[in-house]
Amino acid sequence: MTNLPLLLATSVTVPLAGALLLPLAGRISGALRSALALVFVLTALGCAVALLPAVLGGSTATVSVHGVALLHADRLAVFMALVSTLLGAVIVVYSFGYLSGLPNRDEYDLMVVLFLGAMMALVFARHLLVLYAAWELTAVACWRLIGFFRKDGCVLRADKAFLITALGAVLMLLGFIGVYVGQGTFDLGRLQGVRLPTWAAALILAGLFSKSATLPLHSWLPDAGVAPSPVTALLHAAVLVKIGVYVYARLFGATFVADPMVGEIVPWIAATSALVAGMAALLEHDLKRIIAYSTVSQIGFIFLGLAVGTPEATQGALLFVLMHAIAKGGLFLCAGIIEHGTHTKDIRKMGGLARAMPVTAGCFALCACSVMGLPPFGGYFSKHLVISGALAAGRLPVALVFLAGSGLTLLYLARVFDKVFLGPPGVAVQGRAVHEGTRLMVGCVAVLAALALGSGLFSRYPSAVAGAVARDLSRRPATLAEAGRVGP
Amino acid sequence: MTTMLLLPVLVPAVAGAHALLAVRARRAAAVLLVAGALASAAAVALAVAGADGGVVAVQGAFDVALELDPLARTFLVGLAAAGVIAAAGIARAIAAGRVAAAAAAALLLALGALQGAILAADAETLLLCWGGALAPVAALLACGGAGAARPALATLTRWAAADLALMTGFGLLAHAGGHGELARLHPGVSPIATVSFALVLAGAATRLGAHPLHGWMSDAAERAPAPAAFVIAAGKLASAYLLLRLQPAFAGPAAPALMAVLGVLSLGPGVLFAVAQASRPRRPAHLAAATSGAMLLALAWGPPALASALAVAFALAAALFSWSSPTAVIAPSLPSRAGLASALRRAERSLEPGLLARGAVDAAAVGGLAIDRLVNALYDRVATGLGRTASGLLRRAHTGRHSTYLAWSLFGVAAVVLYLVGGF
Repeated sequence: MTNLPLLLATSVTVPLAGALLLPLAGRISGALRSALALVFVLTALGCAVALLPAVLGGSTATVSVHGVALLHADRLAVFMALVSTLLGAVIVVYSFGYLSGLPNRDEYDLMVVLFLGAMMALVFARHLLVLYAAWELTAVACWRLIGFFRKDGCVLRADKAFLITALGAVLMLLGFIGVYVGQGTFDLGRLQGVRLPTWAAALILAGLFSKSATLPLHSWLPDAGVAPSPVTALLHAAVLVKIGVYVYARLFGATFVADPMVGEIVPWIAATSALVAGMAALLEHDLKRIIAYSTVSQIGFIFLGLAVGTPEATQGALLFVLMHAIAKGGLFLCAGIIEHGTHTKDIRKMGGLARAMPVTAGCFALCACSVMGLPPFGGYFSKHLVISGALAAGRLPVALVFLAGSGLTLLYLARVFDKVFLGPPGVAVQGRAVHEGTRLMVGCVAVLAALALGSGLFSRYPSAVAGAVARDLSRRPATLAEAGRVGP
Repeated sequence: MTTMLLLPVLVPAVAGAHALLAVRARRAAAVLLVAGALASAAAVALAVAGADGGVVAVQGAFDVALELDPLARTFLVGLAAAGVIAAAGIARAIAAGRVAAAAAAALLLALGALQGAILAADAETLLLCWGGALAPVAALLACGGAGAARPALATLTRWAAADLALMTGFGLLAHAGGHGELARLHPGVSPIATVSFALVLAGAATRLGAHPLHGWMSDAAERAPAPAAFVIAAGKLASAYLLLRLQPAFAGPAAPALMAVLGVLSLGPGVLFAVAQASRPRRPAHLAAATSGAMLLALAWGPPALASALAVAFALAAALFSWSSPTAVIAPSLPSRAGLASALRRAERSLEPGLLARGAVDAAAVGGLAIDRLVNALYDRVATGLGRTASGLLRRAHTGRHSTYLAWSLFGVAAVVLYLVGGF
């Protein structure tokens, strides 16, 4: 029989502890360091894959130290762990090609693997302080990775990301302390069904919104595009911004009973964020900033689904976590190939790249179709479930706003494709032998593009997993009366 | 047997997947295209002969349901016939090198999706199949020749925007009625029903190529004449079927009135613009818009049988244009310098809703960016004022020699504090 707690502990400790070995390995050989980085991430992925059948079958696993439960694996946690490590593994492989020849590789690999380890600790956290520690650890890794190039502009923007997310984390910590003062425990298992005071909910939400780059705490995310493209893909599309969403699902979906007002306000904050970011993306010229605005916009869909809280909407939101991670990760990696080839991120200087980079153009188109929500791509099914769930819950106005947001997504992604890949060659392309990225880079992008399409064509399988997680979340006490416990 | 209903969707999809293998072999792609279209037509014949009126459900992310009612039979057969005609024409163009070989796969995939849209039993299936045709249609148009990629992208964007309108319309109907089954939709007379129908009509009329939602059609026909002929024919059939199927559910005068207005707008300018065209390939597109207008008028005021007959006849005629080479003369050309002709061409451009909407979109974009810049300015003010110390420390940590270790020690201190506070 599989030892679930061992798998759980391994999935967290191997990347966390292994990350510290990478600079040492780098002193021996760059190839050894890179190989070890991949092995650590694949180990975490393997553990998550091995945990999946057990949790889908209804089992859970807990790791305790001195009688205190620190880590816990359930369906939601394993689902998020799978998404994070799957994307992480692809991005680590892509980095081999993208970053070859650049300095600071030791620290890069350390921080990427550390980040993924912290992410595993966060998703499996059973204790609020473990969750907070992992949260801050991801912020430190993110700070170092955004400022990877160590230029003034990069450092300033890395600091901005750190300051905004750290401010949010402090607010969130105050909320956790409020919970502790009222209930005397940080154990999420013992906090289930507890009524969350409104002020604590507001503090925690501020933290979540800062990490998930939701208006008005979103401005660090577009600025973080100065990081290397694998970093932007990993942190800002696939994994980091999903932390806030995950913690929302964990705390407001699976654990606490919040004031119903939270469920009313969050969709509107998400809708405003989706609209404003979508509008800003229409006029932006920096390729990575446009994709980052798109992330701000799409995260709103996930928050909408989770906040509506019906099984259908929650299933759609969780499915979109996966679909968005795949497609947006692909878009960022395509942007990396384009930037590598043209040495610019300004879409006004591009044009006609479809001829020079046909595979990248095709992959970009496939991933963009998924983010736009066109059938039969993965994004369609998840967005459809979110919006129909919102409609079924009687949230017509907010659903209409999100449909308008979908229209904006369509417009700005079509504009990007037109400016970058079609038309006559731009100034950054003229007189330069622009070509595809390395086989490794293009291969990684192709894998994500194929997944963007395949996850739609075979949506039954990810949808079943998301549905099982959603059923868990919808079993929580729906009202304060059912909860029978009142907080401070 | 209800499972026969799956054949019109699956056969072209499988044939399209096979045609993907021949994207580098022109002649093989042409043969596969014709064979796939014929197989698809055979599948339609089997479905029409074998279906017993039941609903077939397929499990996916959500349930997909197909059914074949008498109205759908006519349109399914019409679409299959248009598919065979267009496939033969496009195969000829592929063999001649005027159209890329990948068009074979794209056409078959689009055909499968649109046949699914005609068989859809509920709104979810309809939207899935209707939208499933988007990417293949765009790919088909992009294969049409040099400079076809931009009109293909424009078509994709407009069709997708139309699908959003359609989705919004169905969303409103489902919100009002509590279900999405097409056969049980009876929204009656209400403001929400009128708005829903207007949105559904906007969605369908875009694919129908009715004025003023026709912009994609003339551009696509100019750059990719043979593929555009199929897209025009298939879009016309699928849209006409949708309107014919939904219209009886909408009681009251609003639905016929809206269709009649659009019909008049489309018929008159369609004929005028077709006559005024200096570009020959654009002419059939405007004629198609005019025929769409006639069909909408028949839908509004005539018996359903007339509208069905017109839709099928016009679609088959449109499909025939896939046989014409880009240089073929379709109608005598007016001198391009004629004042009336150029005035009409200018009018055509200005009627484009894309142009009309651009102002609104630009204004929205400026608004969004302004909010974003405001938030950034606020951050800068805070960071350079209150947060100067923290910011400076961070920068030093970033650029210092031992920055990694400093970062680690920061984390270590935080961990110790947490340990003490938490009291594990």
